[in-house]
Amino acid sequence: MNAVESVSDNLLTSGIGLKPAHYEQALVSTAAGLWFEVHTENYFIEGGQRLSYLRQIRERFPISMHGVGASLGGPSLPDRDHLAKVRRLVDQLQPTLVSEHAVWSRLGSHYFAELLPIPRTRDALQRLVDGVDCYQDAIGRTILIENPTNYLSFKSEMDEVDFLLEVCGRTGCGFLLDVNNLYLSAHNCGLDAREYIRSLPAQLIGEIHVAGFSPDEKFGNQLLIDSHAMPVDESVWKLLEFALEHLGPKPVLLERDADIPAFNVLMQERQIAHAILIKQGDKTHAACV
Amino acid sequence: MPPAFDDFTDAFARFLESGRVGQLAGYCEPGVNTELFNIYRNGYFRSTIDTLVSNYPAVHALLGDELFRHLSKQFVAQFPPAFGSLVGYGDEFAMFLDDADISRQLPYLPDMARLDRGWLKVFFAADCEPLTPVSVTALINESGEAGSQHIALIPASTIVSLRYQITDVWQLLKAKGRLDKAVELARKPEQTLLWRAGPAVLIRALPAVEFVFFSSLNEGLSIEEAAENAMEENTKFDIDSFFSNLIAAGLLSQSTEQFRSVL
Repeated sequence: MNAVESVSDNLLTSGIGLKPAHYEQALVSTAAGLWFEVHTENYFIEGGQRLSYLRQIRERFPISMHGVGASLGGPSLPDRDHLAKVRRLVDQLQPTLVSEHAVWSRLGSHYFAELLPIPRTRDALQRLVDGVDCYQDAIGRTILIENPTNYLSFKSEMDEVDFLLEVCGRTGCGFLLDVNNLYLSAHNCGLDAREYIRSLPAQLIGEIHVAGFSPDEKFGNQLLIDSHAMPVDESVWKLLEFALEHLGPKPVLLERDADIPAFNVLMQERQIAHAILIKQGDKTHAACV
Repeated sequence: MPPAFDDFTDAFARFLESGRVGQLAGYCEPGVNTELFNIYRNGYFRSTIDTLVSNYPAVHALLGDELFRHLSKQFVAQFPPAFGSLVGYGDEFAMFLDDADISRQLPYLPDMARLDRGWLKVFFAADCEPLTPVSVTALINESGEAGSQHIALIPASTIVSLRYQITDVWQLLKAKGRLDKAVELARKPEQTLLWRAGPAVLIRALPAVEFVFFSSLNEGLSIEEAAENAMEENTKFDIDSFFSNLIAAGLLSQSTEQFRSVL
């Protein structure tokens, strides 16, 4: 059993993204197996209510830290101050999982606050490997890297799966499979989502994300945007089922970052992920028997 | 020959800044609609401007959403985020508004931004156990007297210098998101204290004598020296009852360099 598998085993249920509007209800929730994911950079603060709630929630639930701003695949290594802040939070919170994106977002001292794409070239691969190495060294543990949403195809030397798996192989990091991102990449750029999932070694997958998407304002349903502003689409739930059948039970996280509904509405949606996980667990159990 | 990665990121950054795809198109597969690059540019401006809406609620309420976003886009172009987190983004917003045309019509607008900024700073500032009557007594017992003690405002506090007396109006805007009736604003400087008490951020315009007292503390002077300076401002200044009120409000801590640097 590798490092990714052993930590993920503590979290083989479904969680939700933690939002400030839900702190009070999250804290008193008694839902079985519940865990929360936070955007790491939202807690780059010195103190106050936000950190206090997070610490209290951490006392009751496992948490996962999901970074959005380190620019792992950027032209320069992740910023030292940034990494020191991540390290401080990791030390304080002892999260079950730490993850980041296989993207870039910083050039010099300019942070673009967006998950920017990487052309899959050998040159870009080396930058991402260096960025992941640097991040892992700084926080003293391995991370998961998330597959991006693709909106347009760049001239590349490798398939996305091969590109990301090579990063995992060279850095020791695991893979965060965002099923919604994969669905959108398939829809927008013609990638084969099921083939992609079949190519993934189960032991490398530490977590799975599901989220909602929105049609583009200009191009409509021809172009789907990773908005996190809607409930998860039926087709993404189906792809999650397929992924879990291939990969076995994995921690599943429901993301929602815009037009955030009430806590109980989000928890009802989490139940769908929970039911899929339980069904998959039963199948695995039956297969073993 | 694959594209050089640094050239790609340079071209992408130029596109995000200017909106012109230019050389970036050459990195795509043939037939790709380069309009799609706008997804990333729109995302960049949306996340930064949404952050400004959240960080400057009174300015947003005063200007309305459309005008606020229009101005914010100019601000993002001029002062892009420098750090890989948007928490606290927009430090230069009041300064930017100082020079913006809109501030000729609404000259108190930059002051609104200063108060929004002060609130945010206090909201996210470091926690600290404030001095209590018991801990003050212990301090006095340790050193013999209170007057020589170096005491500071807690880290979760700040004093904002305003050109207009707008503290009351800012509170209304912050609480209700709008003003119910026209208000008259005096063009008279005001020093306003914001501080965190439990989960709440409190605010109070300071009389001149209190401002002198706090400024002295922030300069690292002892309570005794700060009180002397305050009494030069107002000979009737009652340091004993003022000090008790500050303790009751949870505003004081034992001074350290770290705490002073926050203010």
